[in-house]
This record gives sequence, C-alpha cells and structure tokens, in this order.
Amino acid sequence: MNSKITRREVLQFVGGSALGVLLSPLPWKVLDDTAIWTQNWPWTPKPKRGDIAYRTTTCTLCQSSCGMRARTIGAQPVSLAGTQHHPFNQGALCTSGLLAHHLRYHPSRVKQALKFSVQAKSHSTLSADDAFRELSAVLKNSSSVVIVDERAGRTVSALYAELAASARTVSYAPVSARGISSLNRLAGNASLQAGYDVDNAKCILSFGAPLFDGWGTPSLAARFFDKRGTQKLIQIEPVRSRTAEMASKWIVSRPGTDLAAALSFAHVLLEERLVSASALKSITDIDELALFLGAFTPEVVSKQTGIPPATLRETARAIASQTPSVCVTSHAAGDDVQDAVMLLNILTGAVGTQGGITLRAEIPGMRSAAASAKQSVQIDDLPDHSVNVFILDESLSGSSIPDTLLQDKLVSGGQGVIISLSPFVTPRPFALQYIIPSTVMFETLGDTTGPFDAARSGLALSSALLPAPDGTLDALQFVQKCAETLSVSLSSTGSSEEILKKRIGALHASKRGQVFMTSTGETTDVKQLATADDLWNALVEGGCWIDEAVGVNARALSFRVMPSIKHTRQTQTTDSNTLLVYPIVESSAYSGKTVSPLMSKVSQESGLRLSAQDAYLNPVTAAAHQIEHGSTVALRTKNGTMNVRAKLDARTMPDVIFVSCTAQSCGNQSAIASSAQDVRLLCEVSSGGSYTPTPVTIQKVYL
Amino acid sequence: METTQKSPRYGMVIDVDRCTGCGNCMVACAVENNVPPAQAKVTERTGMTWMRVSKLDNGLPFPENRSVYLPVSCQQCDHHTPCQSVCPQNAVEYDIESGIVAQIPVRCFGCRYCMTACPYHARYYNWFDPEWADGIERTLNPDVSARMRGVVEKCNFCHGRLQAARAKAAADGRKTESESDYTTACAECCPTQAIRFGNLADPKSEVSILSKSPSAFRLLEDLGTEPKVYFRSEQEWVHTIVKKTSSSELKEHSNG
Amino acid sequence: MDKQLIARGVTRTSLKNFYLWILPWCLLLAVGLYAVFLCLAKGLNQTNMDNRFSFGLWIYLDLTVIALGAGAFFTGFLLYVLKRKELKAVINSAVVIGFICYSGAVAVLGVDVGQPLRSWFTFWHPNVHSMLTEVTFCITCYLTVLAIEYIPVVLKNRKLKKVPSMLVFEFELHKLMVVFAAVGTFLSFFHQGSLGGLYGVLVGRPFAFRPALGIWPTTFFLFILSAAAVGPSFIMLTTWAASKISRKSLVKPDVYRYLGKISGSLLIFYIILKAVDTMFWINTVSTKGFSPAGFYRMQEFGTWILFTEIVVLGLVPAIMLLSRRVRANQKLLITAGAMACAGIVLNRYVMTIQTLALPTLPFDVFMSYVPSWQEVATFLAVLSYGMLVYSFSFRYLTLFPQEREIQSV
Ligand SMILES: Nc1nc2c(c(=O)[nH]1)N[C@H]1C(S)=C(S)[C@@H](COP(=O)(O)OP(=O)(O)OC[C@H]3O[C@@H](n4cnc5c(=O)[nH]c(N)nc54)[C@H](O)[C@@H]3O)O[C@H]1N2
Ligand SMILES: Nc1nc2c(c(=O)[nH]1)N[C@H]1C(S)=C(S)[C@@H](COP(=O)(O)OP(=O)(O)OC[C@H]3O[C@@H](n4cnc5c(=O)[nH]c(N)nc54)[C@H](O)[C@@H]3O)O[C@H]1N2
Ligand code: SF4
Ligand code: SF4
Ligand code: SF4
Ligand code: SF4
Ligand code: SF4
Ligand SMILES: [Mo]
Repeated sequence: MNSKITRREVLQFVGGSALGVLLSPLPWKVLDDTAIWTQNWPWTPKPKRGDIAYRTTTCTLCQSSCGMRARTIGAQPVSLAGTQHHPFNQGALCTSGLLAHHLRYHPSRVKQALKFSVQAKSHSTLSADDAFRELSAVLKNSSSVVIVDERAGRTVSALYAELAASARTVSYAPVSARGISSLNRLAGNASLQAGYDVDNAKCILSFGAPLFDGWGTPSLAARFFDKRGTQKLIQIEPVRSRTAEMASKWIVSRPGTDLAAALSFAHVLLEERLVSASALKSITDIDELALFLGAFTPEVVSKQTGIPPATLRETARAIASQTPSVCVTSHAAGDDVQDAVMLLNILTGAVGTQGGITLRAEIPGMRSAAASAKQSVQIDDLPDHSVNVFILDESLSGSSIPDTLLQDKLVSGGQGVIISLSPFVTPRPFALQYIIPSTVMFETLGDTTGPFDAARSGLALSSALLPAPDGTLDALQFVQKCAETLSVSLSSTGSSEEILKKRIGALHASKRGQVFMTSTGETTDVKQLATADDLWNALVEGGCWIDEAVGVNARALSFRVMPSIKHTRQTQTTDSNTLLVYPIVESSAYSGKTVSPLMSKVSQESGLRLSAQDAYLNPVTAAAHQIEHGSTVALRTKNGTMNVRAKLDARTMPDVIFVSCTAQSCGNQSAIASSAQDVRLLCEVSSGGSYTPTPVTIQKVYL
Repeated sequence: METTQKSPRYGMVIDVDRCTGCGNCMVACAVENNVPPAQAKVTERTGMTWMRVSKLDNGLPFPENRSVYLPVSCQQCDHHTPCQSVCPQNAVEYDIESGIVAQIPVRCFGCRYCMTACPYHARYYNWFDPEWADGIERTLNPDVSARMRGVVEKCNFCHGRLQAARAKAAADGRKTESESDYTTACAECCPTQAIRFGNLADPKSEVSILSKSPSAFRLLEDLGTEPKVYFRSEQEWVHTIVKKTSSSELKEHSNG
Repeated sequence: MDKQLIARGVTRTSLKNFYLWILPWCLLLAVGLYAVFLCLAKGLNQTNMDNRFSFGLWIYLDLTVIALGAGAFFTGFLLYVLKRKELKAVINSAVVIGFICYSGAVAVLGVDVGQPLRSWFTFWHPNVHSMLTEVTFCITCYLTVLAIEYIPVVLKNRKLKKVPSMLVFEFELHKLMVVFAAVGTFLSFFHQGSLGGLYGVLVGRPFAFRPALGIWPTTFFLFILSAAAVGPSFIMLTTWAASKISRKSLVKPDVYRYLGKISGSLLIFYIILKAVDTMFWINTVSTKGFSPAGFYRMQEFGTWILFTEIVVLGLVPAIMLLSRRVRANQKLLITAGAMACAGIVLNRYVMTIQTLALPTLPFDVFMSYVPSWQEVATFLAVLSYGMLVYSFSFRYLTLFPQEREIQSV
C-alpha cells in the first residue's frame, strides 16, 4: 500500500491542495471574518441609535441651578451643555453638571431601601413598605427628630418646616449658605435672605473662596475676565490656587488665620475712621466691639497670619474706599470666620447695597420664610447627644454635613438613627441608617432656587425626561410619606406636579419678576404672561424666574455683633514651622459627593485634580522629609493616622499639607466597595462643622 | 461661488489666560466621543484623555511660582504629520477637505508606533477593554462607535460633529458644511470661552485673526509639524517657558 | 533512537544530562507562555508600558536580538557570495541562531501589538512611507528565507538522510543556497536598516531623528553596519559558549580569530561613522529648539552613556579586535567580542528607551519605566525557546562540521 505512493504524488497532492484552498473562498472568508470579529468584540458596547432631540431643563445638583440643554436619543440624554444666554449661568456648566446624565446609572445607585447596621459592616435590603413600617416605629418612639434640609428655599423645604411645626418631637434644620447664615445671626433675623452681587462689586475681598473654581456659578470666571481692569479681586489664601492665579492681587496667609486677618481689617476700619456713620449706627454694640477689636492690631495679627502689617492696612483701606466692595469666604470656612467677614461687610456698608450683599424678598407662593424660620434650628446649636433621629434630605446632590457633627449630636452608644433620602449609598458608619432610594436629576420634576452669587433671587424647574425607577421617591413624595407616618396633615398634598403647579400659580398671581424663556432666548415680565400655565410652561421648558430688584430696606436692619464675635475661637498660634494638615474639596466637582465615573478623566487619569487620598505638598517641605512625587506618606494627628499619596506642587505653602476629601477611589466602583479613608476624621472641627488646619507629623512609607 | 472657495482648514486658538483648568473640556470630549471612564488600575500614564489639561509653571518656588493651564489635544499637525507618515496600515488619515488628521481605529492593529512618533503625547492606547458601569452605555453618543482594547485613538476634532454638519449641508443642497453648524465639544463646553474653534483658511474668521496675533504661539513650533492648534497668552513668562523646551528644564517624575 | 539521531563521529552527553539541561528552560518557557496568555487574554494592561512608554522592553530586545542575529545573514553572505570558505565551520550554527532570533522577535511582536489578528492589514492597506511597513515586509520574507536555509541543516540529520528522497531534496536545495543567501542578505540588510529608520524618521523625537541620506535617515545605514559588525562577534561568542557548555572543541581556533577580525574591521568603520553622525546631530538638533546638552541632563542618561557607547564599547573593542596580539589570546578575543556586542545592546537601548524617556513638551517630566514580570517572562520564554531549539539542533544536527575532524585528531 505504502510503497505505491511516490514522493512525486505526495508533493503533487500537497501542492495541488494548497493551490486549491487558495483559490477557494475559504481563506478569504476566514480573513474577512477575523477582520470583522476583531472589530466587533461582543463585549464592546454599541451606542443605541434613535431620534435625536434637544430638551432644555435646569441642573439641580447645586444651588447655582444652571440652565442646561440635553441632547437626547429617544428620551435618554446623551450629552449636556449650558443653555445659551441663561440668566443664571450664561451658558456655562461645571464639570459635575456636564456629567449629570450619568448619575441615573451610577454604580452607587440605591435600587431598594437599605438598612445599615451600626458598624456598617453589613447591610440588608427592605421593601419600601417594610422600610416605612420600621421608620414609623422609630419615629413614634423618638423624642427628638431633626430634619436636615441642605437646600432650603425649595417647595419641599416649606413642607418640611410645616411638618416640624405640626409634630412636637420634630425640628427643622435648614443648612443655609454660610455667609448668609452669619447675616441672619448678626441681624438676629433668621428669615433674612440675601445674595452676593459680585458682578457689580468694584472690589472683592476673598478669604480663600474658590471664586473661579466652584464657589458660585460656573460663569463667574468669564464674567470677571470680561470686566478685567474695572473690577478688583483680592485673594487671601495659603495656596496659589486657580483663583489666586487670576486674582488682581494675591495675599499669602497661613492657613487657619482668616479670623485674625478679618478682625484686623475691622480694627483698621475703626481706627482709621473708614466706617460711615450709618454703618456705625446700625451696630448696636459698637462700643463693646471697638474695645474687643483693640487687640487685633495689624502688627499683632501679622505675626499669626504672616501678612505684613502694611498689607493688612492697605487691604482694609481698599475695601473701604473701592466701593461697592464685598467680602466673601470659602464654603469650608467656620462660622467664626464667616461672622467676622460678615462684620466687615456691615462695616463697609456692603449689606443692602448694590455690588455688595443684596437683600432679597421672599419668593411668593411659599409658606412664609419667616414662619419657617421660627421652627428652624441650627444643628450646631443642638446640645450634644440629644438627637434620636436625623432625617437627611440628600436627594439633590448628596450630603455635605460632616459626619463628626452628626455623630456629636446623636444620642450616644450607637443608639442614634439616620434616615437618608438618597439616590446613592452614602454609608454613615456610626449609626443605624436607613437609605430610602430617591430619584436623581432627569427623573423627577422639582424646583430649585437661583444662585447665591447674584443680586436677585430666582426659581427654576427641572423636568422629568426619564421615568423614575420603581421604588424611588422624590422629596415631595417623601415628605408626604413622613407626614403620614407621623399622622400630620400638610397644607399641600398630591402629586409633585400638583404641588409645584400650585406654587407657580401663586408666583404668577403675584405678577412679580421676570421670566427667561428658552423658546425665544428672551426675558419677559411675568405680568405679560396671560395665564399661570404660560409661566409653568416657560419654566418646564428650562427657563427661569428672576425676582425684581426689590429687597428689604437695609436701613431697617440693626446688628448685635458681639455675642457672635466675642465667642470666636482663639486663633491657634502654632509656631510657623509646625506642619499642618487641611482637607480640601479642590473642586466643585467633588464636594465629597457622588459624581459620574467619567470624572476619572480629571483626577485618576490626568492628575488635573486630586484623586482620593492625594495630597498637595510643597517640594521644599517634601525634600525635608525625603518625600518624592508619588511617594506614600503617613500622616499622624492626635485624632489618628492615614496614608496619602504625595503630589509635589510649588503653589502650595511650605509646611502645609492639603489632602483631598474625595471619597471615591475609582469612579466605576460602588461606594460600598470603596476603601478610601477620610482625611476629615484626622482634623479638628471648629464651629459650624468646619475642619481646621491641624498639626500633623509626616513620614514617608516605604512600600 | 462656493466652488472656487478653498476647502476649510479647521483649527483652534486657546487663550491660556482665560483657562481656569476646570477640566470641562476633558469630560465633554469623553462624553462626545464615547471614551470610557477609568478602571481601577488606570493611572495618569494609562488613562484615555483625548483632551488633557496640563499645568505649565515658571519653575520658581513658592510664592513666586506662577502657572497656567494648557489644554492639549491632538495638535492636528499639517506638515509631515508625524503620526500619519509612520502608521504601517494607513490607520491615520489626513483629510484634505478639512485638514483634520483622522484616526481609523478599526484598521489599527495597536503597534503604537504612531504614539512614539507624536511629540505632543496626544495619542492614547486602549490598555483596557472599555467598560461603562451598567446602564451608562445608554448615554453613549450614537454618532461615534466605541473602540475596543488594543487600538490607538486620539482627538479628531469631533469627527461625528463634522459628519453631522456635512450631512446637514448635503440635505440643504450645499457643497460644504456651514461653520456655524460645526464646533467641537470642548469649545462648546468651556465655561470661560478659552477655546475658540473655526476655519483657519478663512482670513476673516476669529481663529484666523487670533492665530496671527503676536500673543499667539504653538507648541514645539521649531519641529516644523505646523500644528493647527494655537495658544495665546499676554504673559511674557509663558512665551519664554514655551520656547525653552523641556530638555533644558527637566524635572524628574517616576512612577514606574 | 537518541543514539541513532546523533551525528556519526561526535559524542554527545547522556540523555539524562541532556534532560537535566533542558528542564529549566522548559519550565521557564511554560511560565513565559502563561505570561503571553495573560497579555493576549487580558490585554497589554498586563505590562508596565503606558502612553509615554508606548514601546518598552519588547521592542528594545527585539531590536537587539535582531541586530545580534545578523550574524546569520552576514556569515551567509561572506560564505556563499564572497566565498569565504573559512566560515563553513560556523554557517549552520549561524543559520540556526538567525532563525531563532528572527522567529523569536516575530513571536514577541505578535504579543506586543494590541490586535495581532489584524497584523495582516499591513499587507492589505500598506502605507509605503512607513518604516514599519518596510520592517514587516522584510521580516516576513526573511523569516521564510531563514526557514529555508534551516531545512538543509535539518535534512542532513543522520536518520533523515536515510530517506533517499530527502537526500535528493537536500542536494537540490543546497544548490540554491547561494540564491537564498543573496536574497536573505538583501532582506536582512534592508530589515536592519528599516529598524534603524524606525527611530531615525521620528521628526517629533529630535533625540532620535536623523537627516536623510537619499530616502533613509542615517540610522538606516548605521543599523546595517553595526549589525554586520557585531554579527560575527556574536557568532564567535555563541560558538565559544556552546563549546564551553558542551566541553568540546567545535571549531578550529583560527575560525574565532577570523570572525574577530571581520568584526573588528567593520566595527571601526561603524564607530567612525557613528561619531561623525553624532557630531552632525549635535550641531543640528538645536535648530529644532532643543539643546543637545539638555538631552543628557538626567543622571540616568548623562553623557557617560554616549561615551560608553562610542568609546568604551565601540572604539576599544574595535581596536582590540583589529590587533593580532589580542586575537591570538582567546580570553581577550572573547572579551572584545562581548564588549562589541554590549555596545550594540546599549545603542539599541538608547534608541528605544532613552528616546521615549526624554520629555518633548515644555511641561513634560522625565519618566522612568520598569517592565512588569509578564514582559520579562515573555522575553525569557523566547530565550528558553532559543535555548531549546539550539540545544536540540546541537545534539542532533551538524552545527559545526569541523567538530568531527577535531575529535578524530
Ligand atoms: N474645612 C471644611 N469644612 C467643611 C467641609 C470641608 O470639606 N472642609 N465640608 C463642608 C461642605 S462640603 C459643605 S457644603 C458645608 C456646607 O456648606 P454651605 O456653605 O452651607 O453651602 P450649601 O450647602 O450649598 O448651602 C446653601 C444653602 O443656602 C441657601 N440659600 C441660597 N440662597 C439663599 C438666600 O438668598 N438666602 C438664604 N437665606 N439662603 C439661601 C440654599 O437654599 C441652601 O440651603 O460644610 C462643610 N464644612
Ligand atoms: N457647581 C458646584 N459648585 C459647588 C458645589 C457643587 O456641588 N457644585 N458644591 C459646593 C460645595 S458643597 C463645596 S464644599 C465647594 C467647594 O469649595 P470650598 O468649600 O471653597 O472648598 P475648597 O475647594 O476646598 O477650597 C478651599 C480653598 O481654600 C483655601 N484654603 C485652605 N485653607 C485656608 C485658610 O486657612 N485660609 C484661606 N484664606 N484659604 C484657605 C484652599 O487653598 C482652597 O483652595 O464647592 C461648592 N460649589
Ligand atoms: S454649578 Fe451646580 S447647577 Fe450648575 S451645572 Fe454645576 S452642579 Fe449643576
Ligand atoms: S499631534 Fe500627534 S497625533 Fe496629532 S497630528 Fe500631530 S503627531 Fe499626529
Ligand atoms: S497603533 Fe494603529 S494607528 Fe498607530 S501606527 Fe500602529 S496601526 Fe497605525
Ligand atoms: S476637538 Fe473634539 S475630539 Fe478634539 S479634544 Fe475637543 S472635544 Fe475632543
Ligand atoms: S474647559 Fe476651558 S477653562 Fe476649563 S480647562 Fe478646558 S479650556 Fe480651560
Ligand atoms: Mo460641600
């Protein structure tokens, strides 16, 4: 058999079949298929196609309430941009707002009610009915329930206040903008509302406020640049931040010394008689104040702040002479700093002035703010360990209330309960916590007030482009559920649309203010709109309402400042080579809140912003401790230790370490899986739940 | 008539004095072009940032340190386009109709030679499989297909938007896209309007005028790659530092 | 069976010893293949390459291995085309080494590219201006030529020779060898050159960029010349190593001296041109806005590297190899050969890694890169594969025809 096959035959067979295969479609088909397959891996997502449309609405992630235009496929937003010519944001959005359409699908999204045990080591899911049954028992057995509203001024805020007014055991704690709450405090009037009229100010003195980096609306930087030359910004900050870089003048100060600086400015204003008679008259305890300020001479304060006495004097003169001027602080500043800075505004006559702090009238259609204010409490003022239950409305953008503050106020022994209305998992490992799943932007109809860096107050609606997932509640439904549980009846009930329409109806009836309409890009007087529906439609289509420039008469105001000012914390006088650690948010984008996974572009993937557990360090300080860029560094304060990753940056003051507050270590991960440590737990807390620069020791960790 | 008109050459002029380093351009680009978010292991060196905002500083210590942000995307090199000439399989194309250097990811086999060739580090390799958290893939832009692991990609001046503008022109019976229909995502979402986009071939366009101003400069101009992305600054030190190339101002960084 | 496969007239170690020798290489190969699997299945995130170090260890070693493997083409060229009969003693070994180097390099490239299944697109949509296209075409063709050159070596195996048709085939093939050697030489020259051109054309990398002579940058010619210069040294080294490991004399001492002499003559020529090229580069690079001194500011990549490359591992071994006295001393001869090879290893390192490490943009920082274990293991797999192929070839094929002669003496 074998011997019959010759070599020639074998070769012929092999050669012939090789040629035959080549001529057949087989190899080409295989090549083609590999090409196609390598281009369409089944696990590579394919974008869905559909009808493209544009919808305008309002961003509710923060108070700026930016007008935004969503590009949608079907109903699904696929990209966002600012609404051109919108009076609130002039077409600009911030980074987190640009990615707001991802939040619906965030890995930390809560789909079912969750119950976390005290140590948060375990959690269980509950049905909505079971959750409210348990909450009902909890609420009925509690003698002190505090509802925390991180965005007062909404329609739901009024209902929270009403609930608190009707139920004996419940109180309402609106967390108002810091500077504004100082004004309330010093004026002894909790219902006073105000805004910073930065656009019309000739001189802005900023105590570390990141004006061009999330302090106000995202258009603030452009507005400032366009006025370049005519407006002066003096930035006092220990870091040459983005804002300091672009300011007209940057004054370097040691961290944690803003209070002393502010009081020295007040000292100079009084000493050099730069305060107008009417301003002096508005302060009822001016003599006591003058006595108190006597100690804060520029020469003394200079030693603490590191700012030369001459600079302190010049700056005080600038805010007094370049009027209208306005003094602002970072959101992160403590109440003591805020109060001292508000005192400066009172002394310069900025309060109630165009280009200063404008007083705002109540928005029509709401239960009176004055009435709400009566029920209000400040979390800070509550006695320690006196609260059984905190109800946190985190439905808009998560909570920014420091854990330590809540922990101090809750009854001890882990007996406290936290009820969060939240779209995301935001574990609070020190209390029994219920998370009631809430809707996110684009899933719900809601209202939002306008920016605080504007003279006039505003109102806008955010519309539901997508259906809310089963089992989620919006804040208006939640407050009604809570009322039901506590057997309280509210003045306004029904669907969110019914409740909001009622409010807009009242706004229309008042004939006050103007409305910006996205359909025309123009602003019209409310008076011109025939029906309440016209106003409603304009707002639902992403327009906004702006109040008339009428406000409270500032002359009627008088301030009693000493009770607040004299309780100010003694500025810590650390000697100048003590290392300090300080937490920074570093961007409007983070705020310790839940953001789109795509935010990794600006942090993890590029280092443009700090990632979780990153720290800015001056290269000189780093060299003194043998720390290199990227080294792991152990921080130790008297409150604990943590490891951070060093990022050397010559814009940072030597001997200060700024640590990111960002919690998410990877955007694609659920917060439950995140192991990031929170630097804030290492820092000392001052008044109002602010963290203060805290002495620290550092050491390079060799991995 | 339109037929005698020179075809457009798109370009950008970025005012670094207006750039606050907010990062909007970076995320807007990722949204527009379906660039995935980072996986846990991704670092600053393996990230995918078609637009990347870098910090440029004057090298002085605190408090004399001064800095600006430079948003750097593909510089759309017009002459001897470095990446295009080296690609073995024509996965990089220079579009004569627009002057845009386009990337064809489905033809790319991931050799990364183009990345070695690009002096602007504007090209990015998909080190990982793209991964969107469950559901976020519903927010992908239907005009741009998602890429896969193992290929290179980069800024293409929002090609999907150019296509859409061309489609619109065709539907309206025009030969070329109208410039008002075409802007890039990064320019559109810059809150300070630091990024200006337009047709450099049109002497009356804003970008064309800005690009000729004495405050304008380009990166690595001496290499002769003729980038179509210009920057501009009124600050003297910025010009000085940009002209002094990195090799004389080396700083060490290592996270290997 | 083992005994029957071994060539007549030579002795080989016991089968047990042979197994003990190959066992570690097999293990290393297995680990390496696992690393390859990881890279193919999970992607190149398994490596420490990144957007800056878009090329890493693999490309560097590919370039190195191919330069050293050049001994094959150059020996073939000298033997078959220039009729230098002395080289018959090492030609078989050279062909095997060339085959190993090229096939190993191709295998690593298959892992290095992100979409290996699309590699054939280069033939489908070739960009004729790309050096990489040139490299791909040459490497594919030359690997085929090497395989053909390898076949007669295999066919000369004692057992296979018994098959009459194989003998005929081998004889016919042998007659064609001149043609293959010439084609192979051309392809390999071209290929070496293209690898040099790969970096030399990079206008965006002034550190690597060189002006064109004709249509190729100077690195094209320098790569050819340097590979031709160290190829014989590498053949010398491998022959010497094989002889040390097998504890046998494989070639007559004059073969070593002859290889050393060829290497030396070419190396001195190369070093002079390299020095001229460097001078020229130093004087022109500043027109690109880069200061030449700037490239050498970092400690790691100081001017010492340039000095080492050109003088210590270039000029010095060249002079040594050219000296009859040095060549007469085997220790010195081998040392000089090793230095020459090290010089080229360093040159390829400078071209690949240093080029990428140096910043280009004003805000760039100098970066370092350390390969991951997967990268190292993948390369060790190629080394093991080479060791195994060579060991089997050495045991069963006639790599050194003089061996029998020497042993019978
Ligand atoms: N050092 C330090 N301290 C911190 C933190 C930190 O990271 N570091 N974290 C902190 C964080 S992130 C935050 S957000 C803060 C809290 O920060 P706050 O400064 O309290 O800011 P918001 O929560 O935005 O509060 C805005 C409130 O002001 C209200 N508002 C808006 N306009 C007006 C108006 O015209 N009149 C009145 N009366 N109210 C108005 C809104 O309705 C809303 O309730 O605490 C923090 N404390
Ligand atoms: N669009 C949008 N904007 C937002 C938010 C949002 O959700 N969306 N959130 C808001 C919220 S909640 C927050 S917390 C903020 C974040 O804004 P901020 O609360 O202002 O916090 P940081 O970004 O940390 O900025 C604090 C700055 O103060 C400086 N600094 C640190 N210590 C001192 C000091 O002792 N004295 C002085 N003078 N300066 C010091 C630091 O350099 C740092 O740049 O963004 C707010 N803005
Ligand atoms: S500033 Fe606030 S409202 Fe505006 S886009 Fe950003 S998060 Fe939304
Ligand atoms: S910048 Fe880089 S990627 Fe863009 S065209 Fe130039 S070489 Fe190519
Ligand atoms: S990586 Fe892709 S685009 Fe770049 S050179 Fe290779 S094939 Fe071309
Ligand atoms: S032009 Fe388009 S693709 Fe290029 S960086 Fe801007 S957004 Fe990205
Ligand atoms: S969006 Fe504009 S301001 Fe923000 S980083 Fe980009 S260029 Fe700069
Ligand atoms: Mo915050």
